Amino acid sequence: MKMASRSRKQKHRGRVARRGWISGGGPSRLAGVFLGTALLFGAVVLIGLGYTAGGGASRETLFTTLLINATVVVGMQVFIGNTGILSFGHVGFGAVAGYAFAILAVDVEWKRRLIGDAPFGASDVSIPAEAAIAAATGLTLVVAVIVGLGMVRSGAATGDIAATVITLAVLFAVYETAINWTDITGGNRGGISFRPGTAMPGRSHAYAGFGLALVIALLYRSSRSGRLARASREDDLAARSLGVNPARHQMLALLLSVGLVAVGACLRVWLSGTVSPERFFIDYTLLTLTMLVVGGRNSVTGAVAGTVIVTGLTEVTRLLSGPDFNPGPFDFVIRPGLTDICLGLAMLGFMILRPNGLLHDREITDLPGLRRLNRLQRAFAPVSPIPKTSTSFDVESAPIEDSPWPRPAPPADAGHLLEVAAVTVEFDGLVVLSQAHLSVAKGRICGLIGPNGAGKTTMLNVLTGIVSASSGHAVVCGRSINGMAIHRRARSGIARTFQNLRLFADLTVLENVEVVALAHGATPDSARRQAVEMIELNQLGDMASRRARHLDYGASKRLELARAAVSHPQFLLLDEPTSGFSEAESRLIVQQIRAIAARVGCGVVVIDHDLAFITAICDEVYCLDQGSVIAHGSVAEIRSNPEVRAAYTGE
Amino acid sequence: MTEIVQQLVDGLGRGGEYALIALGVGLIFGVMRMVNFAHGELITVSAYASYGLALTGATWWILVPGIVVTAILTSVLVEFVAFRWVRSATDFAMLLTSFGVHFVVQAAFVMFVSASSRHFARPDWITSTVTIGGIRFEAIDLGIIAATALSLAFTVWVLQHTVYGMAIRAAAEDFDTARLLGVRSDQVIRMAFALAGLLAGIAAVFFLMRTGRAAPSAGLIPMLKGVLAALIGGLGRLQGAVIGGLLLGLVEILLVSRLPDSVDGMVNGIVFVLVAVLFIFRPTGILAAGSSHRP
Repeated sequence: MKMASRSRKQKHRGRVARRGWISGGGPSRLAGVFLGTALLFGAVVLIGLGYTAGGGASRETLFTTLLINATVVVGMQVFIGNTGILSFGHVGFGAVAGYAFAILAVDVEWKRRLIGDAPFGASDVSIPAEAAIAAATGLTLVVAVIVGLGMVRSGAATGDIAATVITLAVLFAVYETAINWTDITGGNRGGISFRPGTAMPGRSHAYAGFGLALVIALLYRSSRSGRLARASREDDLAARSLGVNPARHQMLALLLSVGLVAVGACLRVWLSGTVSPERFFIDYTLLTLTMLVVGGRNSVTGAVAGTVIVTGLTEVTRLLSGPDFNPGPFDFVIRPGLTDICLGLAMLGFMILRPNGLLHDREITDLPGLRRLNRLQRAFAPVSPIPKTSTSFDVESAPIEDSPWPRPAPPADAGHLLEVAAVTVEFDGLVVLSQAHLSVAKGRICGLIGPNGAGKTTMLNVLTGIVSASSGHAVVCGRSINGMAIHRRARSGIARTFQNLRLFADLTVLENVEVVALAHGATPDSARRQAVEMIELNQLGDMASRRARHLDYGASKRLELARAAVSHPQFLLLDEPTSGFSEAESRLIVQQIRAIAARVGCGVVVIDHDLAFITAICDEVYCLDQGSVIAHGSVAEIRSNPEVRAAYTGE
Repeated sequence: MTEIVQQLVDGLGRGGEYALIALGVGLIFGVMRMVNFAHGELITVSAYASYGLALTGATWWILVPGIVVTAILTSVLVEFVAFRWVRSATDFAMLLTSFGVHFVVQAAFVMFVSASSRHFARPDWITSTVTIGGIRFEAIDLGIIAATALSLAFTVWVLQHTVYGMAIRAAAEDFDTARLLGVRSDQVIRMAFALAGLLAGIAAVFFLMRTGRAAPSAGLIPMLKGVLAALIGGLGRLQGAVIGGLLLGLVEILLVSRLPDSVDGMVNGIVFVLVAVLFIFRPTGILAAGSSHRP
């Protein structure tokens, strides 16, 4: 038995070893960004130069196009990858930038022939192309701020579908504006084109754009904001309840992302020498999205790899459509539409067979030889001040009464209280909580029991701001939390776990805990230290680099506990920590909760149906029935209370 | 007054088409939690089917059932080929799968037929008008309103009174529980796609009578309007899809008749922006109650 589990563990280690850590911060983080940029940039340039060595103007153009598309796709990755929100609108933002760039950069004489009546005197000015790129990007960012405010607001409530539709609205609104506002866009026919011979000189601008995209994308990925954005990508509600404000991070990701797409779009217009509505519409959206998902939207390396692969694919279909190729009876393969059908099939195939793309979230810097730079070694440096012996439990011999931690102190003054008074909650006329009250002191463990539907979880939801009460008020340590946003309550000292698990499934165990420490303002280094300490305390140390989705049930529950506790809350709210546990496991979790409460120095409110567990762990108990508190007192008092018995047995 | 009534009927006619598509989108969302960006392809495929039938000299008496049957079969086929595999995938993968189906179908028609559109004869009565109470209506608007009402009645009957309909409603409420209680997911999902295909087929009949045109991108705009309508009403609320569709149709007719000619080509864009603004204030649609999700 032991042997088997060990060998499984080792096998598992072998598999996860390929995944690197997200670097901590400081110089090594910058080293990782620099290294990643250098490797990806070098790889793309090598491939490009290799292909152009074959000669021919079309290959030269293809390489430049590859660099520009990579700039756009890496830009899209910043938003789509980190927030998980599907956007069709980035190409629409690109159109805004492309038109602004062309209008600013085309020389005056030439422009007067195309759009002589342009408003704002646009046909009378012309600025150098580099300045035009900067100005066009700035203008696009202003549009993105306005759109982004709407997106982050609506996306939060609907699982991103409304946000995705808003991005679609951007694409269509920009397209139709470009067609109809002919005075300034040249309409659907010619659009705006550069005077022949004034197109992009050489490849240096494309190199610069691609390099910039890599640096910004990798910097954002390893930044605090990027990591918190990914936490809410995995589970928005859990992230909020643990102190993350997704709107901020989604907005920042959107702006960086749109900025890069804007730069790429300007370069695209400059290279081809023309901009028209169709150039930035559905076809380009399909192309760039396919590039992004083939490689893997969750990593910058994936975005770059996808761009290279799909560019190669389109080049093959282009060659097939050339005059030298005669497919005989299979002539349909050279008809128009072949490229689109291949792109569509690639997108379909990947979504069905490998939805996370070729690389999922692996970066090139995660390669075994390069992992050292990401400070793998330091991850488990001994930082925990808790003696090792005290953190290991033995299920068999863990007597509940002889806990190694002191029993909590008696209630203190109002500055150390969680107080809920006269809270009433109604859903569509159904009263779920009615004048309920609760008062817990820091350092105490308080049980919340009652039959199903009594309003226990609703009480936690009211405290964490997920459900708003129709009346009543809640105070944490003398500070009212009425009407506070979910993430602000978390920051004012409330942390919770969920009845049905809500882990950040695609992040590792360590990352799950680490991002919460980050959300509470820890520096990257101290977040890493706190997270390591907390997962050790919960016996998750040997699974630190596993993705949370691969944990077994018990470990998942412990991880939720660790994740909530690392925020060092004043009060920890636990929703059925023992559900699905055996008796032995329940006993273990008693020790664990006590250990955490003592370590963090918080008060605990715990909901559970297991009365033996409640008896073992609680200093006091509230009993809810049909939304009202029917009893409050010590465990012994509650056990002998006839009303409580009646509520449970229905007598 | 006359003008207002005419516009109302005009708007309801257009909105009826959207409602039929939106209802299909809503049904599929109910059983799969997927917003189907490929729903418009049912119209595209039906359009080419009726073009093919028209080439053989078939009249509209044959085209109408041909269109409806094509839409139903296509709907079930697409589910079988593509969507079956992503049933338990993330929202992101589902959205892009349906987006991918949209592109493959569109590109296939570009490749195997032509990028340019094909035309077939519209029925004679399409331009005729009917005068009721001194007000002239377009016959097709009245036809659509009648057909929409009938289809809705049929859909309600299926959902309320047949075993499959009840299973679909149960699944739309809580798929996992429905499955635990013995609802067979395969059949329910297939039924929902078939029903959605039927509704899209009826919408396609009128759409094609109006346009008489088959083009690779024919289904794009109707699909987008259907998805918008479903979102306006609130995804997963079937009566919401109908209300959203009618509302969208009315707003569009209002915009077309009131806006200056210079922005006529921008009606779709303006509608999109209006809906986007709506989402900022009511992200879960107009029918949505306050937040009632339970973690």
